[in-house]
Amino acid sequence: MNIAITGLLVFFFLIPGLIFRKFYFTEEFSKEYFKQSYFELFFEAFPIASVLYFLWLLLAFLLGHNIDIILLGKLLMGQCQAVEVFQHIQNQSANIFWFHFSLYIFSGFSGYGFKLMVRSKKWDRKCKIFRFKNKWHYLVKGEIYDFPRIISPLRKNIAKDIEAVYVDALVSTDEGTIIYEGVIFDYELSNNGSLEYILLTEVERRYLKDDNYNSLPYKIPGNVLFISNSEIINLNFTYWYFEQWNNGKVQPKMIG
Amino acid sequence: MKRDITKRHTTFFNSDPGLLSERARIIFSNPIDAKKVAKSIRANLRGAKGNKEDLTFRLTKETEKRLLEAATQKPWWEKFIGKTKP
Repeated sequence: MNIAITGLLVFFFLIPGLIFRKFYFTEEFSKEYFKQSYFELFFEAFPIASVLYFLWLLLAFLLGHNIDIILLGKLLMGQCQAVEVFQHIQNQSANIFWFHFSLYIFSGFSGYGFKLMVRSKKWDRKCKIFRFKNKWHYLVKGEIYDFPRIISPLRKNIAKDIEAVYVDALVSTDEGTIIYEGVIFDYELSNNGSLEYILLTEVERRYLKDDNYNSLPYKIPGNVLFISNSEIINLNFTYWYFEQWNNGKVQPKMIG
Repeated sequence: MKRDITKRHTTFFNSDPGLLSERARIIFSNPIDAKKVAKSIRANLRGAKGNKEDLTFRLTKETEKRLLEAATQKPWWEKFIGKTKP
């Protein structure tokens, strides 16, 4: 019984950390939320939960609410009677509810807010410790151009200059190896973080054996072409920006 | 006030800009211009083997108008708090 209560308390203690993680790994980075093992999950959620609980306990003390830390400690150590505990919970039920409810809300907002700050300040690009595991995101969006080991005084452009990403996808088919090229429209990851598919628009197709452009490529009609990762052999990304001339003409230029 | 629609700015409220810049999105939303862009990209990519006339292209009047509207669009908060100070 004592072990059960202790285990339950530890689980409740981790909830703010889990909520923080859930809202931190959102949108393009949501696959990273799912961990391989409970140990990794515990290892990540515990320090976050500790910090959040500390902040919230401090706030509660400042607002004049007394938290019986000694009773909590006794509960964790299994050194108090169940009657005493439940009597206390009944007397303080409203406070306990609002304390945890407000903490969970704050955990969600702080997780999401911290993610927005990391992304807007580009800490994930500048510093590996903040970098998300979605390597495809950085590659497809061209954000690798902001990585410290890519930055060079000779490099004229950075990731925000990229206006469109052009892809050559080498695809294996029964009829031979085909190159599909087009502007990348969207992509999706699988649960294990690998690429699941890419969507291209304005696509042309040619066989690899005709890769000398002597034969005309075939323009694929349609708005969006879906290419599954299972068929892709490799991908060649080129990043483009548009230069507008004074005479109104526009020229795409490769990012340098 | 002109907005820069040629860059993919990462801000706090837009922490994950799309794959295309706003200018590219407007251009690609017009099928005629989308074809021109793709053709031009291929010509620039292929260098000597590409068609030199396709290296540049001209946007349709409709797209130019939309680009100008997007560049001069007021910030969203102006609808609520009025004009911003110069």
